[in-house]
Amino acid sequence: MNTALILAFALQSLTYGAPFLFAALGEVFSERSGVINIGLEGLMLVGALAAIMGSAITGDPMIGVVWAMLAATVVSALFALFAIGLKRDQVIVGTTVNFLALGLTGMVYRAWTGGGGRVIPAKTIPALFGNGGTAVNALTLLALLLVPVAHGLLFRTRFGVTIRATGEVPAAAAAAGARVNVLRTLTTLATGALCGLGGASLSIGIASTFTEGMTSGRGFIALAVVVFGRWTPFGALAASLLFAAADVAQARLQAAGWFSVPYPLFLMVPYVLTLVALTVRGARVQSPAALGQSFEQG
Amino acid sequence: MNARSAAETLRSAGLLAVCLSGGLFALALVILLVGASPLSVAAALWQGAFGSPYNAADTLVQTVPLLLTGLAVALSFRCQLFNIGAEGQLLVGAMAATWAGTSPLPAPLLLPMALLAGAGAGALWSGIAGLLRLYRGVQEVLSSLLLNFVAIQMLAWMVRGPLQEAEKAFPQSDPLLIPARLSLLIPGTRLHSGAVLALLLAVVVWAYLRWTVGGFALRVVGAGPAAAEAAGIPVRRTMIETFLLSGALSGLAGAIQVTGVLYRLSEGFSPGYGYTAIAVALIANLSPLSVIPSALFFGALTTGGPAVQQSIPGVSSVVVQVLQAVALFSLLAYARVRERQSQTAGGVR
Amino acid sequence: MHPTPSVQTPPSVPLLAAEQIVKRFGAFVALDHVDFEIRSGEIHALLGENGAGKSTLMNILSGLLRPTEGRILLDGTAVRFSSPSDAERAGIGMVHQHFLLVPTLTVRENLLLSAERSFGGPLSYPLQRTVEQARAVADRLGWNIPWDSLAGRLPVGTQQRIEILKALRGETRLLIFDEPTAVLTPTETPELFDTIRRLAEEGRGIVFISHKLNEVRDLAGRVTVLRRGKVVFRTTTDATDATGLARAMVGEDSEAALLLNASPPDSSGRRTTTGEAPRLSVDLSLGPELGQHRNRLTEIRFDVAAGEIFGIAGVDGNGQGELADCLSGLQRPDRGAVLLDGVSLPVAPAAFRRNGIAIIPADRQRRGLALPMSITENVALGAYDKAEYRRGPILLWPALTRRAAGLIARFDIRASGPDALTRSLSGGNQQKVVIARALADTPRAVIAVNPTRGLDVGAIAFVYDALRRARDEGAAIVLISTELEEILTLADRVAVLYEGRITGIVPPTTSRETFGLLMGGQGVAG
Repeated sequence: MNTALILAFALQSLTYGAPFLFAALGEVFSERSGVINIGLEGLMLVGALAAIMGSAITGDPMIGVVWAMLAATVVSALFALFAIGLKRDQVIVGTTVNFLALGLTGMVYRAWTGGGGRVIPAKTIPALFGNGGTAVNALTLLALLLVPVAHGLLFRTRFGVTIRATGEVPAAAAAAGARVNVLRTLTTLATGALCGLGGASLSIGIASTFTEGMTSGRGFIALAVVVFGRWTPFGALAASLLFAAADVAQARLQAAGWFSVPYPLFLMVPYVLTLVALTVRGARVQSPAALGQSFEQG
Repeated sequence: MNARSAAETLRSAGLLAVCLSGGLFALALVILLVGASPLSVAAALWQGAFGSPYNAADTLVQTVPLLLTGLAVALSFRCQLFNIGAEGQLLVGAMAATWAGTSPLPAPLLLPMALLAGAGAGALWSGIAGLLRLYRGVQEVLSSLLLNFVAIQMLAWMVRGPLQEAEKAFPQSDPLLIPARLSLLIPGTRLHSGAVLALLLAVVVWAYLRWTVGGFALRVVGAGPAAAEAAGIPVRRTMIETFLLSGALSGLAGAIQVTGVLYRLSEGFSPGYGYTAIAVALIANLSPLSVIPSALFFGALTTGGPAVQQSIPGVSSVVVQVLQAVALFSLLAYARVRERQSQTAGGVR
Repeated sequence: MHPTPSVQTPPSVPLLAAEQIVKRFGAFVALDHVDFEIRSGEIHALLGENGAGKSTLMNILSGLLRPTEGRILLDGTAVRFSSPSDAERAGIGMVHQHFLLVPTLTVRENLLLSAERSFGGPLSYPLQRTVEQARAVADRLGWNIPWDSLAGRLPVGTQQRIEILKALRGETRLLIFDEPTAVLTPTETPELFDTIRRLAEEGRGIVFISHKLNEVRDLAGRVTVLRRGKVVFRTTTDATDATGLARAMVGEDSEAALLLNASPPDSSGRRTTTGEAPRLSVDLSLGPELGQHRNRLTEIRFDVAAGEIFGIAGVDGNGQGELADCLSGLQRPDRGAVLLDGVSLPVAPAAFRRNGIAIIPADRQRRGLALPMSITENVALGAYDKAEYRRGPILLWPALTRRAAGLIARFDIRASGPDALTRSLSGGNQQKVVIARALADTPRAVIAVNPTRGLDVGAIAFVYDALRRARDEGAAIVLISTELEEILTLADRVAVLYEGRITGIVPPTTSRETFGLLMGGQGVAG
């Protein structure tokens, strides 16, 4: 293998890893504060559509990115309302958010494009360097830069200590003066914004169009990324890149026609890999103790 | 039922109505925003679902897989197992049924073997999530979902590989022979005898939960796993059994689609029955008999959806998914209000 | 020798005064016009039974709860706390009974979690300063704290010291200890008392919450007794004795007081005499948990005769849970077995139950009951596999419902009927359901673990009565309890558990000092 090929492979993995990474970084904070958000998939989908629409309507992909963050944050506010405010089961609320996002994006997209037939051109995020498959754009860079920021925030600030306490022993955080449900709402909204970015990096980063259900399970893989990365930002980075590399490898091998293996088996790889990863990590990982439990502040 | 509990039921029904109409109001707003009339959407939905005997029969046809997968979800949720892999279990059930139905078995065996193979494959697929949960501590929410995606790709491969038709022209299987098909109930419609089987199973599942030792164990494990263990109920075995039963129901749903509706396997035959099943089960409050009307409701939505799209430009069939979400959110709000009421009312002291 | 008190208020003005405090939770009145005051430098005990309102009052003083009525005066000025941090700023700290430490964070991080706001905002990381402050206090008190260990890995006594460090700031003038000795060994307790006395000598006001009479008399000057949300008695420890305090705490009129305190250790129970086969014979050991070194249970050996209550005393966390699991068939011992009438049983809860060993588990809301289910279903858990209640795989619910209705009457369970959800019952009635299930069919042996925890006096009397009746009907009863009083009231013989070993088996008439030594790991011959 020559170095150019390896470099291309690495750069493309970065780009493909960005959607996972954005969503997973948000989920790291969510879960550290005690909220499991199964709705990542839907939030990303909303972000992906909002990004395309913002970019196509205003002609500026960066405005598309902002729309994506806003739209996904609004939907995550709905999650916060039901899961944190009304204290409903987080898994069920997350699943419902996924339904809503799938239906709503489909409905809005078809209404916008007049039945989905018309392809509306939208500008993608310009590449910082590289071109074609190896182009790396600003969003990908942002995702990478967010990793040390998230790490610092989580492990080197009072805020981070409070978040971690909130997910383990919420009563301890409350006794120390933290408003547990406010904090959880905050991490949920941040997760929404980050998923919006993830969706944007998918629709106007990797692709240049929206298709219904285009996240195709990336949000669920991001959940696995969080577990695999042991609820740390750098762990999430490593896991994201691993899953992205698998994704890229299957696409490249398939394109190169290296094996006479049918392509559905290639498409299976990321999901099977995630399952294997979860199985290997399995019982040895310890999730935040209060994950998924609602909290009543006195 | 005494007067007090009747009044109680009435009040909670009224409350549910308030919550639902709140949700529907929100949905109407969305439809208005898209530029259509909510009333004409509703009319088109009704027309599409029940406008003619053929449409009504089609609604029932759509209800069958929702009923079976809804029962599957209700069973596992009752055991506090968040198995949301009904979709994948349905797909592998369809694949196995196709394999058995197109095999060189004696003709009278084809149909029963196809149904059994479907149920068995669904149980196995769900059992994977069960084993991962029990032996590796992997949350079934994640594993069952990921298995859905694996099943989708597996189906894509099957109809291009092992199960592809002899001519190899299209990504689909050979058609099932007549003996491998479920009989039609009403000539001229697509309603098949699988509907009777599904209804029967709803009653069986209800009786299982209500009257049998196994069903009792399932409910206790769901209500309090530690209490179940302390009382000597085999918790792990009950969990595995629940995974298997739930998977079998979903797998059977897939087998019935193949043997009763499609007669051959192709990609994308399920518009997400297994996901809608979650809404079906939750709205039925996880009670097997209530799953019947709940599935019928969503079946009607599924049949009516395309009619909406045809008659009202700009509103697509995916409005149905939004409706599902709206119904679920309304139900969650309703459950919250109920909880609040019972807290302020206080228990017996 | 000690630093001079940092803050002094004239004795006429109390450091903190709560006036006419009322707190309602829905229709329930937790505090009913309570007056309470603390002066600088004094140790003021707040005494009361479970549910008397002690913790509610203290949660109001520390800002966790807001009073429905009444006011709080700090140095004679009315203040209003809307959160714990308000109270902290006013110089009020609390050491909670259930430690509020995050086990997965280090000691440093735990201290940082509750560090003063003035040390820096959310985005700052004043770890150094926080630890220095705590270290100064720790040095003064002569404590050696492993600052970098995870809090969850530390011994209980050290965890409590970290709680004290968390509560103590430069400005802390009032420190509340909520049942601080409940989790300590008898050796750790005097050390804590030394600490509390020093903190008081430094001029701080100390509130000491307890229901242990001897501790209150040891430590406190003034005593306020709460009963059912009202102040029923105010005194000084010089002016009263333990009996007076006990009577105030429990209430003179109540029959329960007699049941609880007046009855001497019962002598009607029988002891195993040599030659007589014991009903229950225990001889087992349980190895260390994965990754740990210490055996969970070592050479646990005792016999219980039919018609005997055998008490197992000890400070919480010394192997009670593991022993209870072994005795109820949930846990297979690594060596040895539990023999019932000389027969070894297969290790499974169902087998134990079928052979007549009834369990009253420690955690009634988790292990005892499936809360979302009805009384019928919960008592069916004790009988669903009996032939008379099933036909093949079918459960005979009408018969089970009749049985439940019978038990509701027999055990005086206050509920709307057999279909009432156990979630809707009060704690006492929930425990009655658990007991009804255990004692329904005259068991041969009963394993009861902390059977009265969190119950009010009336319910406690009921539980004692039920256990005594089961004993009189010939059951061998093992009573595992962390309440020594309870064991001394009920048991015919007492074993003391310390770090998974039995340090002695003695009669209940043994002196308190001896029990203290046994519970602290000092073996006593005999």
